[in-house]
This record gives sequence, structure tokens and C-alpha cells, in this order.
Amino acid sequence: MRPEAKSAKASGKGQGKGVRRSGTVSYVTGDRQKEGVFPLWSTLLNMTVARQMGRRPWSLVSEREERGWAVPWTKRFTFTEAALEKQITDLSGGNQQKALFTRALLTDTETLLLDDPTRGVDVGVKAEFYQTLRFHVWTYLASGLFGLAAGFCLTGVNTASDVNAAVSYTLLSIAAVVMGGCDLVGGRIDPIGVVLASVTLALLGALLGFLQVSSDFIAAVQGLILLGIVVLRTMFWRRS
Amino acid sequence: MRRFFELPRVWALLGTLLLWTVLSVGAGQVSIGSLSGILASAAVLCVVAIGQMLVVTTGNGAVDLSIPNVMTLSGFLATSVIDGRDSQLFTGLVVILFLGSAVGIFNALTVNHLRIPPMITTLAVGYILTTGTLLFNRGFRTYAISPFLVSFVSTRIVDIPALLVFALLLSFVAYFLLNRTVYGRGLVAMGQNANAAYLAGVRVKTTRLIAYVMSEALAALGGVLLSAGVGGAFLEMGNPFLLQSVGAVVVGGSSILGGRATALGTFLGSIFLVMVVTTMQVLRLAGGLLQVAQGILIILVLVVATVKRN
Repeated sequence: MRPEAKSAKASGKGQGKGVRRSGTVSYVTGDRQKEGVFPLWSTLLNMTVARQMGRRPWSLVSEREERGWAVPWTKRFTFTEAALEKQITDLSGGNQQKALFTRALLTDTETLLLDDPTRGVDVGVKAEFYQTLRFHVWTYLASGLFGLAAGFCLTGVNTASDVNAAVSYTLLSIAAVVMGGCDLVGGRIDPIGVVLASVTLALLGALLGFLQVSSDFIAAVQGLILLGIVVLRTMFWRRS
Repeated sequence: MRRFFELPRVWALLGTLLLWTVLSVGAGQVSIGSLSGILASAAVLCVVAIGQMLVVTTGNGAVDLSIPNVMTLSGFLATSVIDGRDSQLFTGLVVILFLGSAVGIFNALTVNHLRIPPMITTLAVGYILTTGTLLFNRGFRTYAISPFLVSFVSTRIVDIPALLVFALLLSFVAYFLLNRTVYGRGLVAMGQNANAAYLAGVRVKTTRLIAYVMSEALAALGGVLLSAGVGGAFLEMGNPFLLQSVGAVVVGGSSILGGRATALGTFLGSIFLVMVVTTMQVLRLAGGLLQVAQGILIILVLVVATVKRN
């Protein structure tokens, strides 16, 4: 759902001070009847319409391709794939709303406008809905807990605490993740790879220390290695 | 099997076959050849009805009422520009397509920006065009048809008029446009729920504009084919196509409220409707009764369609 996405982008430029108002907007309505569903269409077409409208008018549409877009989200929203083929008006209100939510999410939008998106939806679906949003909260919480654990370990290893002791770990943690085979833009994880990469990085740090490289350069060397890996992997992945 | 009968166009097909049998038996001979005249006029209706269907699909009770007047005027324009010469054919076609597009753009701009209901707009524009036709009628030679056009509308491929093949091809193009392109998706979406379509990123006004332009361009083309078929342009020759174009769309299974369109159904609906008219002529119904019967048929179809949906 992208009302005049392009003009919104254009009008946002150069306005205001310090606040950037640009980009695409998607909108999920609470008023399904008036602003949401296309009653004569299947759930699938209802889900993909906004994404299709982002393409050129003469582009071809194919339901097989659209199913490929929608299926990952049906898993996220505990939706059977059979429901995709049903006419949307045969679905419960909650499932219709899930379809509209999916419609907005399928557009790869930058901003999501939610206008009472759970109006008239039962509690179970409501929870499922906000779970998708809450998902991110859990992720950050987990990250924080791991950081806390690492802090305890670090203090144990150094046998003392220091305000700046953990600063270098910002870059290091990212480096370990990338070296371990995870994708920086998300969607691909490999915990064992991360552990191995962490060991490698620690050994690398030790090696650089052993070679008496100035501690000022250690970060730079690590950064370069990191960049190198990312560039190599992007090239490799694109080819495969 | 149940699914088969749920396809709206099936009913038009069955009706066509039934009437065909009735007509053939009534005429005492069973062949496609005996019906090729009917099929040729059905083809002209189909060309026009495809355009009507696109406008109806934009929803909100949109019906293109300027179709008959565009047909008549384009018939006059084409015959006078072409003036019986094949060399002028291309110019003539360009002129009438330009006329059709101009009318379509005017209609769409009026609906889009002045927010006048489509029915009122197209009706008013139709009146204006009628005046244009009357002016044309004064001083132009309007009975010479280019030989190529004449042969095009009278050619038969194994008893099937070439014109019908043309109409079928056109229907397939419309089918493709509606079902396989982003434009078609947007058109059908706005017919179902204009607000939702706007919020989903459909460029509602542009979509409407293109539908109107296609409708009037096809009406203009239909006018040329009609005048070629009957051997010249005459006043009010497009008039029967007002009711019939809407009828073909509805009988074919498209929703009169918009948002659901079937191009192949419109094709079959055109044949069916022309056959109904012919049957009644064979039965020697008076001209007035013909209109009544057509109207009743359309209303019946609408009632059945509405009941089924509820």
C-alpha cells in the first residue's frame, strides 16, 4: 500500500531542518471494508496488489511468482497455503487483516503506517500480529543478555574492570559475525561459524600483538580484513 | 464440473449454442455459413463491447454512454476522409483513432478532475458529438467505402467471417491486458474498491484515463467497421450499440458494478445477444418489442448475477 509513494519522496526533499521526510510509505488500515480488501479477489491477489503496483504498468504478472512472494509470510502468520487460493471474503476478519498486513510488508517499504490495524480482530491474532513487531524486541534483548555475559567473562579474564575494556568489541563482534558466514543484511545465520570466527579473530589479535604491531593499527588491520571478507563474499555470492 | 458452470461465460456459450440450433432448425439448414451474417455483426458489437467492458470495470457505476455517438461520428469521418480510396485508409484510421482518443481523454479528465459521474459525462459528451455528426451530414459524400475495408468486412475464412476472427484476437488481447499485466490488475482493483486501490498504490486517475481512451478508440474503430459493413455512414447508426454493448458485457459475465471483467465472456455475450436479436427478427417481433426483449434479457441476467452473489 503505497499512496503516491513517488510524490511523497519528491516532496520530502529539502524540507524541514534535520528531519528527513522521504521514502516509501505503506499503510495498513483498520477499516477493511472501505480501505482494505478487494472482495472479488483471492487472498493471494489481495496480498500482492501493492507490490505489483510498484512495477511498470505493462509489466507481466504471474500468480506463480506471486505465490513465491507470499508463502514465506504465510509461515510467519500461521496461515495455511490453501488460504491463499480462497476468496478473501471467505476468510475470518483476523485472517483478512493478516493478508492486509502481508500486503504492506511485501512492498519492501521504508515506513509502515498502521492505523488501528487490529480493529475487530480477536486476541489471538492480535498477539500474533504484534509478535512480528515484538520479534525485534526479543532479538535486541537477547543481544543485550549475551553482551552482559561477555562483560562478566571479560572482567573475569582481566581480573579488573575498566571503562574502556569492551569498546573494541563493537567492531570485533560484527567482524566475527561476518567472518562466520552470516549475511550483514540479515536472513542468514551460522552460530558455529561465528564461534570459529571469534577464535580466529582472537588468535589474529594475539598474532598482531606478538608481531609487535602497534595497538593503534590492530583495529585498522582488523577492519581491512573485515572489508576484504565482505567484498570477496559479495562477489562470490553474486556469482553463485 | 461445478466449477465449469460457475464460469460466467459458460452461460453465454450455452445460450449461443441453443439459439444457433433453434435458428438453424428454423431456417431448415444447419451450417455456419447460414449464420455468418450474424457473426459479422456480432464481431462489430464485440469490438465495441470490449471497450465498454473496460470502462464498466473501472467501477462505481461507470458506463460509457458516448459509444454510439463516437461510432456514428467516426463512421462519417472515416468515410469522408477515406472517400473510397485505399490510399487514404491509413489516414482515415489515424483520424478516427485520434477522434476516439480525444473523446476518451476529455471524458476521463472531466470525470477525474471535475468529479462528474461517468454516466453524466459520457452522456453529455455524446450529445456534443451528435451535433458534430449533424454538421458533417450536411456536405460530405458518405457512401463510398474503400475496397480494402469492404473486402475485410466481407471475407470469410471457411464460412467464418474474418471480422469475427479479428474480434476474437482483440478479445484475447483484452484478456491478456486484464489478467496478465500490472495495468489490468490495477484496473480490476479500482473497480472493486477504489479507496483500497488508491491506498495500495494504484494510479486511479491514469488507469481510468487509459480505459476511457481505449473504449472510445474501439468505438471509433467499430464505427468504421459498421459503416464499411452497411455501405456508408448514416445518422444514428451507432444507437443500437448503446444497449447492446452494455448487454454483451453483462451477459458475458462481467460485473456491471466493475471489478470483474471477462473478455472472452464479452466475446461470447456479443454473439449471444446478436443471435437473440436475430431470433426475434425471425419470429417477426415488431421493432419496439425487440428493444423491450433485449432490456428484459439484460435485467434477467443482472438479477441472476446479483442473487448468486448474495
